[in-house]
Amino acid sequence: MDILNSLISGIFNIVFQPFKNIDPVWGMLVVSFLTGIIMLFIFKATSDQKGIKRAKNLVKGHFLAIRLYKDDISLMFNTMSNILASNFLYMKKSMRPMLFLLVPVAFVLIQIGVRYEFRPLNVGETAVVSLQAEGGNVRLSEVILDLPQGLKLDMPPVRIDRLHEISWRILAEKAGDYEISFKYGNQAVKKSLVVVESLVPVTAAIARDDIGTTIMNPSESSISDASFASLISVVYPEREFEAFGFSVHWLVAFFVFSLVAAFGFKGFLGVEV
Amino acid sequence: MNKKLRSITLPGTCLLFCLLLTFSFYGCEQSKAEAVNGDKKVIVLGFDGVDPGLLSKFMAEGRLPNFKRLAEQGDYKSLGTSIPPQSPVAWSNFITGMNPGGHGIYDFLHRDPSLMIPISSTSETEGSASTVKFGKWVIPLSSGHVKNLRQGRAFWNILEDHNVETTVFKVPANFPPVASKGKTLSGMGTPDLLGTFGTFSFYTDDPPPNQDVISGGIVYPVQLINNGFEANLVGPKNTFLEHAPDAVIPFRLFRDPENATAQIDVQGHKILLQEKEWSDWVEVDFSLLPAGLQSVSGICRFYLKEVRPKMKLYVTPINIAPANPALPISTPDDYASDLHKCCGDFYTQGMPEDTKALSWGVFDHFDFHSQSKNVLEERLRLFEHVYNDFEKGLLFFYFSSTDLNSHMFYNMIDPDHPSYKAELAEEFGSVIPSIYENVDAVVGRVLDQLDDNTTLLVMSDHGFASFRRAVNLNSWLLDEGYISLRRGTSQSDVEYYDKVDWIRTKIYGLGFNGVYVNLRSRERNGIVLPTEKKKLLTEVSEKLLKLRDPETGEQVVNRVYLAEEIYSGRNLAYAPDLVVGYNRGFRASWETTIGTFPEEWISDNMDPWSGDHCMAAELVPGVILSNRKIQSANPKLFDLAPTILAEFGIGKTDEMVGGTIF
Ligand SMILES: [Zn+2]
Repeated sequence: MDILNSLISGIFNIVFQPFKNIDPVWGMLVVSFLTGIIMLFIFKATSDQKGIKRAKNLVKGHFLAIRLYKDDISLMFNTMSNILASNFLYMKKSMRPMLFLLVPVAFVLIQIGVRYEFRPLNVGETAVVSLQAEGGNVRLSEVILDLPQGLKLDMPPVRIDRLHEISWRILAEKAGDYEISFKYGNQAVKKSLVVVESLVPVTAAIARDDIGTTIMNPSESSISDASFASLISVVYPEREFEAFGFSVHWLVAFFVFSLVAAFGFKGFLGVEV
Repeated sequence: MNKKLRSITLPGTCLLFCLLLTFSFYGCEQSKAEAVNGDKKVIVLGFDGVDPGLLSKFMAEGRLPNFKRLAEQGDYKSLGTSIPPQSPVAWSNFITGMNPGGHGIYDFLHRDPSLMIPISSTSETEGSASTVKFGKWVIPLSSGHVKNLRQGRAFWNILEDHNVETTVFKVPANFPPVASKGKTLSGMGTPDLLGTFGTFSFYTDDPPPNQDVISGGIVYPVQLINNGFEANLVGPKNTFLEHAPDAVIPFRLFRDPENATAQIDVQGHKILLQEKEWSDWVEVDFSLLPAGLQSVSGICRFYLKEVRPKMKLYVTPINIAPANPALPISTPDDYASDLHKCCGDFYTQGMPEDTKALSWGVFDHFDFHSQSKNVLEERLRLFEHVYNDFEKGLLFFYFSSTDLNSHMFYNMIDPDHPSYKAELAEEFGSVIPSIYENVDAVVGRVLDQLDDNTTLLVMSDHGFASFRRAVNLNSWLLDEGYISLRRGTSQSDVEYYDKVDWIRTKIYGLGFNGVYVNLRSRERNGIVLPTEKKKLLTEVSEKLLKLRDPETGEQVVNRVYLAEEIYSGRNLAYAPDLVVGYNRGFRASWETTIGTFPEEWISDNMDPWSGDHCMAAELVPGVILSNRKIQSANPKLFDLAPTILAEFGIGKTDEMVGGTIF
């Protein structure tokens, strides 16, 4: 998984590179547009274009029938059931391309999510960093946090034996792309912590053997199997996303932008959807 | 969105996206008239409770260079306050240019003569009248609403009629904010999410012995198991459910086994605190209907007062969230959320300084001071934004810190106060002067950028005095035979007048300064005939003026005002018949204001609430400073509305009782 993650992350780092230091809406706009158009191609390649066209025409025809025979109740019912049937046909025809679209869309959303869900810390802000130990055998009092210069421990940690968890509050004193390390005996685990005012991926959590966390946080390697830590998380601030003066959730912006692109180019590329 | 939620919604989101892509195609200000007086600006800085005695003293000590500069460039005078000098009354005088007879606010408390109980004077809430039951759910068919009880037009509404732009920030006695074309945010009188004037929560494994009588907050005893406890944040009543139980949000606290630190987990937030540390504002959502159909947003801050030996966690009253207000707190509706966007969360509660927590011993002076500093820092931040945003027209901006800190720290500057302690005074004697210094900096900020087209008014609603002796006025009236209790009841059992024998009671006190005749045909069981009223009032007034403090021989009451001599206007219904003007050093006790009868008629005030102003108006004037010369010999609060109107070339209304001070 880590290899696939770093491959996809590498591609998206290049895609987002020009938008790192400008209003995040531009990165969103371009990536959503590209996604919309690429989805069209995939749709075209994986769907039965003729079948879709036929199904759509069928429905159109039935709608026409409704308008013509609107005074004849029995005919109306008949036509309506026909509409339903051709609708099902249409849905069936769209099922296959949809399945093909599902996986790439998920990867795109994850990549956008790590950039737009949270933002890196700003100088002067604090973040809570937590480490969950594997099982109850790890003595939390012996876990040591090592911070590079530019980051400072803001207060003594809170150790929660019952959750096998230890949390620190870290103050960002200087901008930087940091690596903090956690030591226990002769073991060590590392986790990134980003303090910068630009659009870069942030990794909210890394896990030892939790595939969900690893999929959702593709920009950083997961924790190695033998480690004393099973999960390390950083509570980054949520990114307040604004698109041209409107504060909207980034998912909404993505939908709108990519749908606009897809339908804008639909005729141009000759795709039946 | 938290991580868990994200991973759940992602596949769904992809599916939705694909569905949308596949199917969506197939289905198918009024014009602004030129304002009068062009780019004229009037800036009013309202510093609640700034006292001319203290201000002059600190100015003379060189602590307040900007106040001094303003006084020298323009003018500085005492400002006659309202009768009685209580904030809701005084600010209503300011807002309307009327006396209480016009705006109808006579005290913090009024009484309902048909029920003979104290009621809030400034606003009332009405629940939805019609509801429909649906299983265990009760669905309201119309929304409940809150009503601002202040009568009389606000002067900024008159400015707006003449197309003057207005920004009115947290003026007291304006909740819910009256309709306005300008930007207003409600202030004193704005409730918390529970609908109270502020209910803190205190979670501890060492509940104080007085926990059941504490007002203004609730103590939740907790039990620590393995260094942690689970408890609930208690929110508003869920009126969608039968019997309207409290809506709650569970939270967990874990303390470190050795360090004086703790972690609080609440609604996906993970908060780390050290002892004596405040969290930032935490946004919480109380769910009222399942599946997120209806919820109420609030904000609160956690204060880890003590980790060991005892666990003490204070949580501020749950404030209405400015980003998503559950009640109307601003005009336009989204002004509060605009402020939130630029400045983050802030106290929306009317009186944010938690004086109750200090009075009841949940806070000590250190805790209160740190909370009060939070309030001031936040207000200064908001001021910076609002001031930078202001271009022309009227800007009113309000600061509460000068008032509430004077209330709570007056005993630190008054060696004659019964609760004065030299060592505490050493530590906290500088609080009041330093608050004055803070607001002095605000004056400086405005003065530095003042142009010829701007009039600056710096004002307070009343002054301050020490509150050394608490007068149980109702106990005195009882001793004097004017009030009778039901036979067989002991004086100490009476609460909210519940055991007063009204058919043997002639006159009673209610609120901080009000005295009411138990008048036939007005009060529910009134016995005094209208023809006997005058004689009774004269008799009681004379006795009150003769009252001497048995300990010091000091005169307790300085003046007694007859309602008919001081009030005029169309809203006299709630007017008390007499207003008691206490001497400096004396004030009505908390107990007597709501109809409780302590044994002694006068006693030492040992409450940390040690300074006050509910006295004779002449003894506690406020202040007025301006960059213009003040011509009026005795400017008064109700002169300011006509003054501001006149600055824009607008005449005062017939109902306004004052005139311009320039
Ligand atoms: Zn006050």
